[in-house]
Amino acid sequence: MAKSVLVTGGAGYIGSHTVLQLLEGGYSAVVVDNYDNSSAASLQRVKKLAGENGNRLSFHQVDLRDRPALEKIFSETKFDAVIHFAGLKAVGESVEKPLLYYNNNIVGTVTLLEVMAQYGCKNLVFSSSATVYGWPKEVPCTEESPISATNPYGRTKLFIEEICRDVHRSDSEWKIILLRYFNPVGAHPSGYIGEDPLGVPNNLMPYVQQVAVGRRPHLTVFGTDYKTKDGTGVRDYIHVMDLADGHIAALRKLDDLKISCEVYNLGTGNGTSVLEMVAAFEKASGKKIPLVMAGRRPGDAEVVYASTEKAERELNWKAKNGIEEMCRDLWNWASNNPYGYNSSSNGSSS
Amino acid sequence: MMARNVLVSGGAGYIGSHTVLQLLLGGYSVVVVDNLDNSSAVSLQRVKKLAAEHGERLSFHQVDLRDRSALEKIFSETKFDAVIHFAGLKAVGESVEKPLLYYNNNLVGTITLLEVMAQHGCKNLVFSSSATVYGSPKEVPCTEEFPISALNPYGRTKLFIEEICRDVYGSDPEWKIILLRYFNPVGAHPSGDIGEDPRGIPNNLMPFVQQVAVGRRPHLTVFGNDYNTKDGTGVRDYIHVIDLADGHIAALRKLEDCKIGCEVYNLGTGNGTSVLEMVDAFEKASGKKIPLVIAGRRPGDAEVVYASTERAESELNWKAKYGIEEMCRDLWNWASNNPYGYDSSSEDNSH
Repeated sequence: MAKSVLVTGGAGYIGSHTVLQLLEGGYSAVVVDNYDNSSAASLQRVKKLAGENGNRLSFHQVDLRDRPALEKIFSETKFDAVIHFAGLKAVGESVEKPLLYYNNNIVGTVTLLEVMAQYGCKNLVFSSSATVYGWPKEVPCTEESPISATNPYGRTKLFIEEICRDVHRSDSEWKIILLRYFNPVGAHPSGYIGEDPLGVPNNLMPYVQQVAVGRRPHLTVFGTDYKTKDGTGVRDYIHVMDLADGHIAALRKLDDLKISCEVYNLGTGNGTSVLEMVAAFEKASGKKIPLVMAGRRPGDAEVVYASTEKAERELNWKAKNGIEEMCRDLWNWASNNPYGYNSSSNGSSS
Repeated sequence: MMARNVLVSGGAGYIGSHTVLQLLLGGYSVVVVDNLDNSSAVSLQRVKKLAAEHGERLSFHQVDLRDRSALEKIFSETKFDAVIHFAGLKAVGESVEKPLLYYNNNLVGTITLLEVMAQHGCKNLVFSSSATVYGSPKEVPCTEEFPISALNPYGRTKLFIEEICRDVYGSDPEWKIILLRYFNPVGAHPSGDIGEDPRGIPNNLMPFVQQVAVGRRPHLTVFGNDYNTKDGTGVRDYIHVIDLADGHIAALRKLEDCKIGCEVYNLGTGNGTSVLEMVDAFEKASGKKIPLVIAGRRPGDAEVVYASTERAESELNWKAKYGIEEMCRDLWNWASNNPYGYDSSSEDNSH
């Protein structure tokens, strides 16, 4: 029988791509999402893309902090594992509204973990972030590098990692994998699903994409005097399909008897500057991205990229796509859906 | 002048009840919110008696902080000038066994409280942090600038709440927040009517000593006698609970200072006392012999921890008055009159 996986935040960017890979990989997926920063349109498209595998998808509009609603879902299905994406993720907003972040991310996670324990489902894959490496003293970042946080969003990730470690220490039946994402970009090659942030995008590529389709006049580059090849910040961009596959690899790893509470980086191991990324996007799209150079943003690190050794060795997973594929697939999504899931009614009506 | 209104969460507990008494005596009106998970309303009945006519300004609600609608109701009925937030679970060992209980109770309770405070425009907070955030300090005395860390879920709840408070202030400078890092509170009100009454096996030295003295436990186990200290046992900064309570009044006064943002203060005496010295002082005060069993170190226990009291002295104008003799005297006065805590007599439970 197909393994059942509960996916929180499964309607979001990384969630929806992972749900598709889960369905294609033979899993049954139950999505819970409050649609605060996403919409069911992504899941309707996932269902279509998955063809007959789409029958193994169901979704519920539920907030994780709604304990009775969550309990009902656990009482109806025996889950083999939970992949926990749900959480707010905008750094700037978290500085302005820290309690919103602590409530949503921490209270949601504590409630989820309690309900999981109550129903005997103690297998968890959690979406952490490379943000916990702060301003790394050296690169590549290994999973043993010291962790810290410079804003409330980062602290919610850090705190949840600590909570997970404590939960495992208190009860060794738990198997927990903390995945530290680097910088997810791109979209499914079909162009049907992709990133659709509400409001002003917080990350580079969603912003670039909105400039390319004419929704914004230019891209502001924060910091051109970093000690990097061209002065702009360097990050480890990873194709969202590779990231999604990393979750399947993590789920397989949970079958390993020896797993306890483990951390894995999901990155490519390659550092790319802002200007290199923009150039790759211009090539893929044929669009010119007007740039405005600005000063550094407080809290931004200079160079961050992953050591991929542990994930390669223990998860048997390695990113396949480079920045060309990321930009190609991003542009395919963006040009077909200039206003995200609201661009056409066909995705929303089904 | 109208008495200032203070909401005290966890006000039925050990430190809470002593602080409530000092608040009432200091002219404040006090509304206590406590779920009574690890405390008894008897403590507040006794506080009311001790406060005599001031006791009229005390009211109590059995409410859990996570019950948002109940909390909102309390805030809608009274305009609070400040909140002193004691409520929280505090047993290290239990927190290792049941981390989610601690994260839920302490973090979710605090987040809810802060949200309801903001919603009702009450942005003055005194929070009970702990010297536990100094972990195993590399040097002593511990100053407020030391790096902070945590070795167990209980400590992490304190650490996380401190960070949350700093973020809340960072997002809205109307907040005034004082984080008080308690060292080791002991003793009781000199009347012997209120004191510490932990449920189950005590987690801390002196409540355990007190239970040995009244015959509830056969002996005291001393964890570690090979530390690099005067007599080999761990050294801590014990502080009389009345001094600690007064530190909260000093913090409330400080909140009226317009320059305060989110500040941290140690509440300790600045003196380090070893386990054996403390037992000795207690034996002297009580006339009871405390049988000792010496055991190995407990993982996670620091060697020497005591406070730098400079900042609290200069900025709060507060300084501990009592030494370990008074702490042991008042502890014994409470313990001998209430060998089983608030359950010792039925008289208080009946009304």
